[in-house]
Amino acid sequence: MSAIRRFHAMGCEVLLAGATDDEAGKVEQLFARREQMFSRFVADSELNYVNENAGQPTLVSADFAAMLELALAAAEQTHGLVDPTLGRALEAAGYDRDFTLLGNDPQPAGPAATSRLRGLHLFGRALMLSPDVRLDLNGVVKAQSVDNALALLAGDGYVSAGGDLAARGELSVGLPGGDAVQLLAGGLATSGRDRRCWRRGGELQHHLIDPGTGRPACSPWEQVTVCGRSCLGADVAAKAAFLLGRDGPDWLDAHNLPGRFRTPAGETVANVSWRSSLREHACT
Amino acid sequence: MSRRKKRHTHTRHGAATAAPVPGPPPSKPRIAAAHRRATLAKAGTVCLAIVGFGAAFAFSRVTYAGHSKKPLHPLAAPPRYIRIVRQNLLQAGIVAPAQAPPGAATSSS
Repeated sequence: MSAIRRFHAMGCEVLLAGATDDEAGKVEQLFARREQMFSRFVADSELNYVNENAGQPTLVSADFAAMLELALAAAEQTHGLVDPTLGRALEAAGYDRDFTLLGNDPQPAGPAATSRLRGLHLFGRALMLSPDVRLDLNGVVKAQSVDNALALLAGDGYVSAGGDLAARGELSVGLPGGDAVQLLAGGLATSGRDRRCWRRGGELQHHLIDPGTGRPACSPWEQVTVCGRSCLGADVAAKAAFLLGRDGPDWLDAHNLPGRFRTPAGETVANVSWRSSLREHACT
Repeated sequence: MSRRKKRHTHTRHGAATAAPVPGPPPSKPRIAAAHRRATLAKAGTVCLAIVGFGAAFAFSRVTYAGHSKKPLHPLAAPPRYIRIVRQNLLQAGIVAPAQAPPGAATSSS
């Protein structure tokens, strides 16, 4: 595998291995284009344009519509846990500027804003948002970009964006807490509240919002790692499992998804699918 | 007056005036043929009515403004949307015990 390239995009470091110069250029362009389109912190992003025009029909670009469709698929398959309409809840929690600019704000968090999925209607490229809806597609954009970037590579390699990882060919991957696994197929993603967190009015806030309460979720887990067929699938499942709390491991097992959970105390819990995948492939 | 009654009257008048003149014997094959013709006519009428009804039904389907001229499509989300929503994101990848020092890492982002 050729040298690892690094660049910064979407508020995190992107690692790219196995790419030619030409492929690396295309991957960088892909991430830059997606950030320009979907960032809440780029003033002229299409996402901000859509949010500012909530309440009236908007014709979005084909790429935007496709990403929104994926976000809706994620919402449906997680029974609304991974929800693209929680932008207002994130802002209320204080995540209203680039993460690097967030500090300990003495102001208390704003009023909770629960799911507004019923206020989102997409017909092809025509989008109608209720006036109280603010989209945040961060739940799918980064992981989908990782999958799309891997598809730009002709040979074996991997793409990792802030820990969301997709690989072609076998790859040994370090896990939170120090373990490692061999990723044989698909992607690995970790969701948690240990990195993207801040304080507002003295209370700890993070970016994983419970759509039922409209507040950062209270979960017994600090990090959830899932192995999916794609990085997007793994990321969506990891978020859902985190939000489900104690039911997360069983929910992943119901979908045959290997998942690994870490508590704030450093205890590690692997679900049945994770353990059986390791056991089945121990000799391969 | 029916044919039988006429014949009966004629016979009684004949009996009073002259020897009975035997009338022509009732022609059974002719009656049977008449029955067949009547049956055929009835069947033809029924067939014509059915064909006529069918033709009128088809004609009304084609011309009547309130009827659909093309197969009906339900008012639903675009097929592309349906396809993507039905696409199962939650499918498993494969992990195995590590066989080398980690070349990459996954962590919260």
